[in-house]
Amino acid sequence: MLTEYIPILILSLLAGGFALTNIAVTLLSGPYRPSREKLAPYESGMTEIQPPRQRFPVKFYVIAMLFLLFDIEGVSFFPWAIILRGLRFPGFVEMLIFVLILAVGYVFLWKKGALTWER
Amino acid sequence: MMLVVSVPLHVTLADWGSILPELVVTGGFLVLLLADAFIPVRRTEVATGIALLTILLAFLAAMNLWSHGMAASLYDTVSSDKFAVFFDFVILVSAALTALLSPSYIRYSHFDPGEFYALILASAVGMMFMAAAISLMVIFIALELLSLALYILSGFERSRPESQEAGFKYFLLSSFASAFLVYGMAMVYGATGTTRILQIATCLGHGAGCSAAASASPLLYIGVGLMLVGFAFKVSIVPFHMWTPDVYQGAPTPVTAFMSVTTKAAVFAAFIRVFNFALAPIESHWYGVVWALAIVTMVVGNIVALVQTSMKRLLAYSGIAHAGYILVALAADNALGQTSVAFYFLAYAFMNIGAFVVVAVMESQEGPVGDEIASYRGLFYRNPSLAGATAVFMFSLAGFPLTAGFVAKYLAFSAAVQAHHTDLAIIGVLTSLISIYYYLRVVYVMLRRPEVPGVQSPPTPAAADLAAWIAVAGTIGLGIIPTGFLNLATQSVTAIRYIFGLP
Amino acid sequence: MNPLVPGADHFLVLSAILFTLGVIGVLTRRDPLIIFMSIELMLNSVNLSFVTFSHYLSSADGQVFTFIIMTVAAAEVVVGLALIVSIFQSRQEIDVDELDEMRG
Repeated sequence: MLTEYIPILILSLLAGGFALTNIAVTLLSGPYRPSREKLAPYESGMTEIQPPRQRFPVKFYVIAMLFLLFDIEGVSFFPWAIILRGLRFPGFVEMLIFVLILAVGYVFLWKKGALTWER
Repeated sequence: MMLVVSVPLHVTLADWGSILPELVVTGGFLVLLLADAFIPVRRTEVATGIALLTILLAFLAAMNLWSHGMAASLYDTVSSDKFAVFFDFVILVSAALTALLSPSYIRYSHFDPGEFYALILASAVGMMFMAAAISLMVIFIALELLSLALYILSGFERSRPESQEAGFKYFLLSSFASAFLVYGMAMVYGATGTTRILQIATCLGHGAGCSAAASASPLLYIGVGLMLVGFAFKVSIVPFHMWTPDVYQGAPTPVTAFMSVTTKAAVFAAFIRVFNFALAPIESHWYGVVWALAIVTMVVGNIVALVQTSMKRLLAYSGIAHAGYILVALAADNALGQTSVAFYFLAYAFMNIGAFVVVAVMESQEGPVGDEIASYRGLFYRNPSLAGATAVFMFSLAGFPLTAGFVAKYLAFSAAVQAHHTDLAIIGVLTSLISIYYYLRVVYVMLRRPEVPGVQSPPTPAAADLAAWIAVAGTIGLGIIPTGFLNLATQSVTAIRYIFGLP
Repeated sequence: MNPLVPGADHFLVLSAILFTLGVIGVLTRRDPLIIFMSIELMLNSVNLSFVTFSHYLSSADGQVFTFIIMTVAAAEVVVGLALIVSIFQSRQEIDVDELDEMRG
C-alpha cells in the first residue's frame, strides 16, 4: 500500500537535498561582508523613502470584497456543470435564474458606484 | 468512489408552488434593489409601498398554500405544511408592522429607504425558509440569510457609533454561534448518514435507513449538544444571551422591533422541528439540559430586567424572559406545547412590535432620550392615546388576563403541566410575577404628572399610529377571543405531527 | 488496519483540533480580523468533517453541505469586512475591547 508513495519520497529527498546543497555551497565558498543596506528587508541598493507599512485606501477592501463574493458564487457552477445532462433543460433555466439574481446584485453595485475607482 | 444520488433530478412546478410566498418576497427584494439603483428611491413612501405590496402578495400566496401545502418538496428539503405557513403569517405580519413603523424613523435618522426595506425583505425570506426547512442544510443557509441581512441592518444607522458597534458585535458573536451549530449538524449527519429531518426521525425512531448504532453513537450526542448551543444563542437563551441587550439597544429601533419577534419565531420553528420531531426518540437525553436552560433563562431575564433604565434594554431582557417561557413549551414536547409556541409568536408579534412602535415614535419625537424610561414621565397627559397603547402592551407582556400575553403564557404553562413538568410551570408563574413589577413601572412612570405641565406631544405619524392601533387590536383581540387563531395553531400542529406519524 | 493509512478517525480528529484552534482564537485574540479568521477556520474544519463523512458514508449530502458552507463563509467575510470598514471610517482604531459604548 505504502510502496506507491516511494517515488514521491525520493523526489522530495532530491528536491530538499538540492536546496540544502546550494545553500551550503554559497555559505562556504562566498565572501560575507554585510552592510546596513544589504541587511534591509528589500535589499536592492535603494534606501527606504518611507516605512513600507502604511494604510491602504478603503477602496481596495471594497474591490476585494466584491471580487470574493462573485468569485465564490462561481463554485456553484462546478457541480451543476457535472450533472447538467441529467438536469436537462429545467436545470439550465434554474441556473439562468441564479445568474439573473446575481446580475441584479451586479447592476445594483454598478449603479451605486461601488465599481468606480475615481470618486 | 461512486456517490449515490437517490433522488430524481428534476423539480416540478408543484415544488416551486410550495415555496411561492418565499419566491414572492424574493421578487420584491429584487424589485426594490433595481428600483433603488435606477430611480433613486429617495422618497420613503415609494419604498414603503413596494415593501408593503410585496408582503401583501406573499400573505395571499401563504393563504393559498394553507390548504394546498406539500409535506415535502424540493428533494425533501422544504415543507409547506400548515406549521410552516402559520409561521409565514407571523413573519409577514411582523414585517408589515415594521414597514408601517419605519417611515417616521427613516426620516428621523436619514437612512436610504430602498436598501433598508430590501434588507428587511431578504431577512424575511431567510426566516420563512427557516420555518419551512426540513433539511439541516436549508436550516443553515436560511439562518445565515436572515442573520447576514440583520447584521447589516443592526449597523445601518452609520451616524450613531452604538449602531455600528451593535452590528459588529452581533456579527462576530452570531457567526461564532453559527459555526457551533453547523459543526453539530456535521456530527448528526455523521451519526445518522442524512441531513433530512424526516430521515433522521425514522433512523432514530425505528433504526430504519441508517446504521442501527446511530442512537448509541457519541457523535450524535456531541452533535445535538453543539446544535443546542447554536439555537440557544440565536434565540437569546441564558447563558448565550449576552449580545441581546447591546444589539437591541444599538440597532435602529424598527430593526430591533423586527428582529426581536421574527428571528425568534423562525429559529424556534426550526428548533421545534429538530428537537421535538427529529430528535424526539432521544428526548430523555436532551430534556435535562433544556430544562436547566429554561429555568436559568426565565430567572436571569426577569431579574436583570428589574434594574434597566433604557426602554430598549428593558424589552431586550423581557425578550430573554419570553424565550424562557417558550422554551418551557418546547421542553413539554407535546401537541399542546407546540400549539402554544405557534400561538405565542402570533401574540408576541402584536405586543412586542407594538411596544417598539412606541419607542420608535418617542425617539423620532424626542431624539435619543426617547429610549429612556424616565422620558415617558407624564406621557398620559402629553399623548393619551400613545400612552394607552403602551399600557396595553405592557399588561400583555406581563401576562394580565384579557390580553394575548395571558393566553399565550397560560397555554405554555399548561403544556408543561400536561407533560408532568410541573416544576417548570411553577417557576414560570413565579418569574412572571417578578416581571409584573418592571412592566407596571413603565405604566406608573407614564401616569406621573409631567415636570412641565400642559405641554402636548406632536401628533403621532399616521403610519406609526396605524401600526400601533393594529398591534393594540391584535393584542386585545387575541386575548378576548383567541379561539379562531388558536384553532389555526392547533391545525398547524396537527399537520406537522401527522407528517411525523404522531397523534 | 494499518495505523499509517489515514482513516475517518484521523480526519475527524484533525477537524476537531482545527475547530478547537478556531474557538481558542476567537476567545483570546482582540484584533477583529484575527477573530474573523478564526471563525473561518472553524467553518472550514466543519467542511473537513462533512467531506470525511460524505466519503465514508458514500452519501452526497455532505459534499453539497460543504459547497453551501463555502458560499456562506464568503458572504460572511464580505459583510464582516464591510462592517469593519464602516467602523474604521468613523473612528480610526479598531479593537474589540474599545467597542464598549454600551454597558449594563
